[in-house]
Amino acid sequence: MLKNKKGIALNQAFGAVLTLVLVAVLVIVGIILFVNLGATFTNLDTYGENNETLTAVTEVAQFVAQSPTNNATLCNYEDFAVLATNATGGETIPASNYTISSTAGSILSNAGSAYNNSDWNITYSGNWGGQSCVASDNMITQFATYPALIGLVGTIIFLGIVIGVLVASFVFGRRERF
Amino acid sequence: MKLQSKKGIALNQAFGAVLTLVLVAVLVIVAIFLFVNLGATFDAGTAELNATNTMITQFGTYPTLVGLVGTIIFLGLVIGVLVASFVFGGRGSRV
Repeated sequence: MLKNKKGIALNQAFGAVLTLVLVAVLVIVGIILFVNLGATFTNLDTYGENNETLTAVTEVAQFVAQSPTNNATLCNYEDFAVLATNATGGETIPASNYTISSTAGSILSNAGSAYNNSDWNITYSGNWGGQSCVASDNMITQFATYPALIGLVGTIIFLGIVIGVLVASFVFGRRERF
Repeated sequence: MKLQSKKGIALNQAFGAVLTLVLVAVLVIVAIFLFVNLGATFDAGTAELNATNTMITQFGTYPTLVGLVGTIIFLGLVIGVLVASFVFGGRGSRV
């Protein structure tokens, strides 16, 4: 219990800082918990689109509209599968002409492909983590703001200790116990 | 939670407050997971599925509110330490 009301007494410093450390560890453990909990949410919802047009597909990867790059809520994105057709002629583009990333939702034309630098229509589908995963990610984002606030609490505690030591050492106020 | 200090949150209550916040956060996530799996058992277009989807949407707004509660807790801690250290109010409080 505080007996010194000018600053924080030095004999209370250890308890105050220990409490702060425990709270900080708890926040980090909470974030670890949400990260691991979120990682378990897979294949809970599906995504997909028919005949989405990608313009001038080259050897640089392009991301479909329902990809984590273009839609950040699509967490634990997986099993991206595509059927590509030539937007001009309508024929199916053989899979040997392109490379996809199953977790990024991207497609690129392989070097030497006859369909390089042309417009493609992409029909694709896959699975993602659903709203449970979104909630976990949102919780991580919210808890990630707490370390800065914990730092602020710690700064106030240490300023209080400084004031407490100054007051106790140099009698800036009434007589107080150190 | 029983607050002994009416000016901010006492430091000795901080661990319990943050622990409660973490548990509530986990509970919200588990609840959404339960609703998603429950909804998967209902036929499309039924009232049960609509209600479950609405529940998922509503619970999906709670992480932001949990974040707000946490921010208020930490600001309360700041005020509590300030009051206890520098007697910004009445007789001051326990840290």
